Amino acid sequence: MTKPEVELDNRQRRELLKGLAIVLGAALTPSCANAASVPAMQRVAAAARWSSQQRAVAHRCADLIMPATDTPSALAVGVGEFMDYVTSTWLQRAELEELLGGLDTLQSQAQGEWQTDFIGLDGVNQVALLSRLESADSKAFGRLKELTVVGYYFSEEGTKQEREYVPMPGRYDGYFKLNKVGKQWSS
Amino acid sequence: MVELVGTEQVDAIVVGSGISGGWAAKELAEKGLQVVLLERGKPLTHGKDYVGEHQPPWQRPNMGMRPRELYDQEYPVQSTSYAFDETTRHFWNNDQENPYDYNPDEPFHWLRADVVGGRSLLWARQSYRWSDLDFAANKLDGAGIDWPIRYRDIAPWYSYVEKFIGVSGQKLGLAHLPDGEFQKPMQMNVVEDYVAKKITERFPDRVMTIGRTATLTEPLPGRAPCHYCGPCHRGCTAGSYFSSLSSTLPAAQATGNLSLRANALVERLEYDQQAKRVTAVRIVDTQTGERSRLSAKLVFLCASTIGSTQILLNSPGGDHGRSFANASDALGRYMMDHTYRAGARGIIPGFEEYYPYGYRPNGIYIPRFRNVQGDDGVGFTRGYGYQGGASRIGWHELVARTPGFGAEFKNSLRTPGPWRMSLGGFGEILPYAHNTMRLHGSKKDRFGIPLATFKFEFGDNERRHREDLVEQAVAMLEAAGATDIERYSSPMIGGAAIHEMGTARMGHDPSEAVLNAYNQAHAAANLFVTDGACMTSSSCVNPSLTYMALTARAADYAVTQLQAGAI
Repeated sequence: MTKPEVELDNRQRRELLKGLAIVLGAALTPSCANAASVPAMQRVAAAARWSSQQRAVAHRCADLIMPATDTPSALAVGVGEFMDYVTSTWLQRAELEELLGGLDTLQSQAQGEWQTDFIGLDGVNQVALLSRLESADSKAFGRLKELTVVGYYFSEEGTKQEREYVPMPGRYDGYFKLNKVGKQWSS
Repeated sequence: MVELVGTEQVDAIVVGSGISGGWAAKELAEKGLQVVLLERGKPLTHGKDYVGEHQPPWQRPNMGMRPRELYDQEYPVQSTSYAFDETTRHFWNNDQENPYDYNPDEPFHWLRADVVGGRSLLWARQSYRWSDLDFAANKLDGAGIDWPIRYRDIAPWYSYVEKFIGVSGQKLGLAHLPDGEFQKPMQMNVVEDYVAKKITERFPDRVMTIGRTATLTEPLPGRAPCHYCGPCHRGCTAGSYFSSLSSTLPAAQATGNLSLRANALVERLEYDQQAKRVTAVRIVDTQTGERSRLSAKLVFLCASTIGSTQILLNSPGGDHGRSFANASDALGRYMMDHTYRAGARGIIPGFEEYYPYGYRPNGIYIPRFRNVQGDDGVGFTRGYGYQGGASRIGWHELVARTPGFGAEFKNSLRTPGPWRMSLGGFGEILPYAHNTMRLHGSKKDRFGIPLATFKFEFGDNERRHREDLVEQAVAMLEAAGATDIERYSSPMIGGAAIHEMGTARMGHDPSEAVLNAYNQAHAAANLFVTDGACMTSSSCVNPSLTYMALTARAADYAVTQLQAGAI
């Protein structure tokens, strides 16, 4: 009943647990996110949970991370709603604090340097501050990025446009050429 | 005690509707017996109840997120499986509702379904024959009692079972991993073919082949070939993979001789010491708590390794208050599993123009190569095999590896990452008397049935083969030119491979075994145990196909004996 799984050593596990695995849970790393090893008390959901300003900054960052290209932007495919859901009901307190810390940094730097809200800045300055966050606080930046990408890829557009959706392949071809599809399959 | 009235009498009772029980029900019903199949789990209808099948990602509940707190509280053990999520949760046991004695300091994992069809819905479908390398192993190295059967005894039953369930695979002509009645093999991908060639060039005694899997590549009556949608464990309305629901239960029902009762938990067997027979099965209705009893000429216990032994341990009638089936003191002992979650993986450079189409529910297999022709002098007895595969690294990992953000970042995620080859070992665990399951002295479930409790330790032989299999995986990856090779070796947890076996082993001598060469209880001629509990050693290959063959063989024997008046 078991099947071979992609396994990770402890170092990689720690790295991953800092990032995506926390959001995706066992869907990403079946053996790492061993629920039995994490006491339930550590997973008490925090009460909701961010200010309207923090929310606005997060939503703006989603569109900076995945802007409109030949496919829609993050907010256009519902990443904002996804962020609202995850922050309000899903993230544990410590995970949420990491995220909120980064959002506050963006806001306070905008205030400090330009005396305006982050969302009031022009795009070039928003990009500059978000780049600074990536270097200065990789945890907070990583959370923003993972929420954006996961929310995007879980959406209908992220499944069918950004990636190639073939729910019923009908066959397996282990010699299929990438240039015939040109992007990743959505599974 | 209140005397239960109105005991029903039928020809045969089968306990459990999973891989083994489905086969017992089919065989006995097809031979004309009136069969009652008792399943502790909830009813489940093939097709209709596969609610997660083909579910589009954007329609998943909780916006696709796993409800972590629910899993921690109610499914702490079950949710460790890769096959556990919101698309399959309704198949699984609720650990809070139906617990066992879980000790976090010495964990043992018991993963179990709680529906009609049992774990046949959720299994990974890998199907390999055992050989005399396995059946003669205990006798050869003395690590356990001798199996009362050899390959020739079971070979025709493997064929019989394989033709019915449908197993796809590649014939290799290996004596120690016998070929079966295969449907055409699934395809290896471009990198797997390359790695296979490189491994055999460097190690002429090693071969990498496509997994032998109970997933159809050719049609069978009422079942379509695989359409490669991916997650089989959500259920398959097309019946492309073998499960009781797709295969054995419809066949049993077609005879008109089967009565299937869900929510029927068997707590114990009644035993007549003089007649040396099981006289009745005691049942609890899990919905109402009502108790009843049922009598039959034949009883087949197929409740899973742990489930069947739990019932036997809870069935008095032996000396000193022991179970009637435990004169040998072997009942509950010699529990085995496979070593698991160790191996290596590495990047295979090149092949970037290829990107497989379809989601193949199968991987590669490297059959055992250690101690095949005798003792290789590698510091351990027996051996291991590998499962794994090659695939391109997907977006989950690319996100963390790709710095930056913006349009360029978004577009770069579209291209799949490099190819990675993974090799994970499954190794044989020896039968140790101290690896046990018992009934807990005081803890009971909601019906007053004592909980199962476990003691499971790995020995030096297991540790040594596990170290070797990691290093050999590295050596094979190196032979294939892999870069960035990573070893992995997770903590060993009994039961985690979900190949738990033993605890009511077969053997010729009633003083050291529970069952005889036909899975018949030494203590009761009308009782057969044909699931994993019967196993005398564990081999290193996946065991389910062997349970099916042993079940069909035992059913044939039982009916012959019944007709001859010997039971």
